[in-house]
Amino acid sequence: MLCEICGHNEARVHLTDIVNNTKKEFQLCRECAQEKGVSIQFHLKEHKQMSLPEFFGAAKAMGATQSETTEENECPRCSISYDQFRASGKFGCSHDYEVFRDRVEYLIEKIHGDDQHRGRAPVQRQQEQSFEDDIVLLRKKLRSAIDQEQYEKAANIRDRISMLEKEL
Amino acid sequence: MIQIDGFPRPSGEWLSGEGPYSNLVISSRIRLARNFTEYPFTSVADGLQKAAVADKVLDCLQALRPGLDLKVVHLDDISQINRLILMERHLISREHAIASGPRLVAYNGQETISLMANEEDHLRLQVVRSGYQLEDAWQEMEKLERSLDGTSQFAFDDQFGYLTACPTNVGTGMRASVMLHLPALVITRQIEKVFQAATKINLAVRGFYGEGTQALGDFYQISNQRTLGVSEQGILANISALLPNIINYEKVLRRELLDSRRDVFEDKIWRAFGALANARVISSKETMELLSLVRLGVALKIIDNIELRHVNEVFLFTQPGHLQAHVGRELHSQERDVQRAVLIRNCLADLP
Repeated sequence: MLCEICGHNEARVHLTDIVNNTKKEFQLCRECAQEKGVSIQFHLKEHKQMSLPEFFGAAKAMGATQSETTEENECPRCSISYDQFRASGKFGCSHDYEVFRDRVEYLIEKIHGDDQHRGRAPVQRQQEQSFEDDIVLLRKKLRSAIDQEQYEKAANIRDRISMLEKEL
Repeated sequence: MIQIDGFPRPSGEWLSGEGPYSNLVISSRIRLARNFTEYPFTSVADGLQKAAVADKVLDCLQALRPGLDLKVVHLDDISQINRLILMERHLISREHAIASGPRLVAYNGQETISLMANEEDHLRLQVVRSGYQLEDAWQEMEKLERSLDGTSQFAFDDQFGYLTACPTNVGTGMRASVMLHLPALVITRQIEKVFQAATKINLAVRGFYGEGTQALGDFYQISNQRTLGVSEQGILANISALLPNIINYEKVLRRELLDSRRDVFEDKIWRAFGALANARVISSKETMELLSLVRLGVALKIIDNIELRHVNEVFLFTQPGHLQAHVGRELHSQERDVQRAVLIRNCLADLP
């Protein structure tokens, strides 16, 4: 198979890139792989026996190319930078998860093999979630009520939606 | 009788030597990490912020069901030895004991529940049970957490779950662990298999005092590694899937040890008892090793004049903090080895 980038060298590198939860796979030749920032030897060496901070460091090095330009470098609340977090392995405040979301997502996937929480949630959040679900459902009903020209019913639904929105 | 200031005897429920499989499961433990949204995490918080977090945790205690009767201890108000004692009783973590600044622990009389303020996370909740009672511990924890949930807003994200200072705890913020005594697996050199089986399903095997501590006296702690992507029940199920295998394996090996050379085996155990009962100078490492054999002897009814509870207590009382508190002053390492020997002799002489 030929390299997907240059199209004339033999593809020897299988690159799997995970960005925002979507997996992209490439078949590349060595030269193009190098240019894309993938060095096989680098990976093999770096992945053996990494300490936690080094591990975070590597995570950034790999995740950085796609997202560096658009991301915040410092949390406005605790003013910790992503580099500082990498060095210590500890966040400064809970807001950091939001500020560095893309990079954190990559890291968490590496640590836990998953990036979606599946456990319990605060009661209030569970309520909010069920309100949100209700609102989505009610909006559908509202649309069909309007389509069927049942305006009185539509008005009722509209009132219930605005009530739920106030709760949120 | 051994008396340590401020600590009633008998000591914590988890040392009682009771509960399911107490022959080889010392205790079951659940820990949850929670943080308040409005304050930075402990590692970067200043003194005022830490004090505010400590106050908030004290407010939280009001929300807990009455009758829990928690004792609150500000760690900066007590001596280093007393902090060690709390750590040795697993009421606080090592990190919490050696940190500085406003931080506190609240625990109940049975020492089955403890809440730490300003550990790595703002709030750490812990429930312990003797023997293999992980599910019971979780039920107690669930009640505890729910009663706090209404009054406090914990940092939570729909994707990442409960947000923690370290990403290795994020999600459920839960660490479930069981403390096992596995001497037969160690003697027969099969313990490596336990490590492999545990690692394969994302469980960690650690020493007696958790992360970064050595396995002493054949005690091993097995806990979940993953905290995100798996529910609380899933974490418990994962441990429960492996544990019966380890328990049975250890049981079979114990029986085999007994059956193959009973005389040699009994000799080994009684010599360990003899050494403990007569030593004049003894290191903590040797104490752990000998106590491990004695515990095995008691579990197999080779030694029948003492109970597991006694062995567990000697185990606790010979730790540096308890030992120094008992003697009433700080001790050098050499002094400790002498005083430890005295204490063990007294403990064993006290027995019926």
